[in-house]
Amino acid sequence: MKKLIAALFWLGTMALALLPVIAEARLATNHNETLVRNAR
Amino acid sequence: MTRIIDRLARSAQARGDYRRSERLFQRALKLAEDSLAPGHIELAAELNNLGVLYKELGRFDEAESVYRRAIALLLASRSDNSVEAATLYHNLGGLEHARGRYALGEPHARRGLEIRERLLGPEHPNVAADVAALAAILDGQGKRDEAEGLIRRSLAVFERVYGPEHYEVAINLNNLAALRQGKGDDREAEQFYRRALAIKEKLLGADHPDVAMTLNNLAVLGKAQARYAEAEPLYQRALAIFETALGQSHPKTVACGENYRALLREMSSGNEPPPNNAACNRSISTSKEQRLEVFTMCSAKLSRQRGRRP
Repeated sequence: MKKLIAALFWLGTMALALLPVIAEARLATNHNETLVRNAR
Repeated sequence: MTRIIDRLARSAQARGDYRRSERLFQRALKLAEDSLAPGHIELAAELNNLGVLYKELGRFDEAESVYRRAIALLLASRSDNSVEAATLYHNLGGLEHARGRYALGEPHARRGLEIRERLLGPEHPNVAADVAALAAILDGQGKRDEAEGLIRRSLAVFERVYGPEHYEVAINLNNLAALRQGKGDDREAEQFYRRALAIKEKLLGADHPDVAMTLNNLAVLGKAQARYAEAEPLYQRALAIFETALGQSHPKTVACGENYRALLREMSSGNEPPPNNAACNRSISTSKEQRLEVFTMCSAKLSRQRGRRP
């Protein structure tokens, strides 16, 4: 019984953790970071 | 399943493990292509995310190709007025920024900002990311006053929403420092660079390419102030990171190598440096042969110092 509860708890935790991943198709945005060059 | 693989790919990308990231993104894209309808948002997302990675790797033509495919898919299935479309415009602007074609990037960046601001309001952190991206593009064109106002606006949003030690804060501090450096305010520039560097090292580790960006910029500042002994190890560290993470022919490695070479020349000739660094420019282009020569010289020096043959 204890094992079953532990397994259910583990599955629930995993489902909660994965929910944001599964729920949305996320488009990543890039960053325009400045790399400074020397003046010549 | 596609989204889980995508998440793993983005995580590898954030760590700087680009080879693994590309492999995972391509797997996610293949899965999406095989299992989803052509107009599905997830397919556009996978193409976009692969494009962001290609841009980071300096593979600009491949990035443009997947971005264009993504935007065509997206516009075929939904309206131009969506946060997904805003992100793709943001990224197309970012691609032109990375290519140094700032004027071409500006309309994309403005379009992305306009769409997202209308949908989410001016205080949303994703809108602040669009504002920051546009600011960098304007700075690249020398429109420094407008750029500074926008960077300070986005920085305020990020600090309020995420706190003072977030990745977005670090990127904005680096860009604000570069802008202040361009305006000749070395003292403030150094403060911002050092804050950016501390945050990046804490969040990303000491050997991440984003850390190398700020190390390079600090070295440029040091050289302009004739603090050669401080600038040289910064360049060496930045170059070693870029070379390992991105390869010798990546535009960032090449640019950093050119900067380092300028320092070595200055040191060997004993020339006095310019009185300030207000003339920093961001639009230098050189031939492939010159770039190779620069890198050979810098790599040889680095190799000697590491105690191995060049």
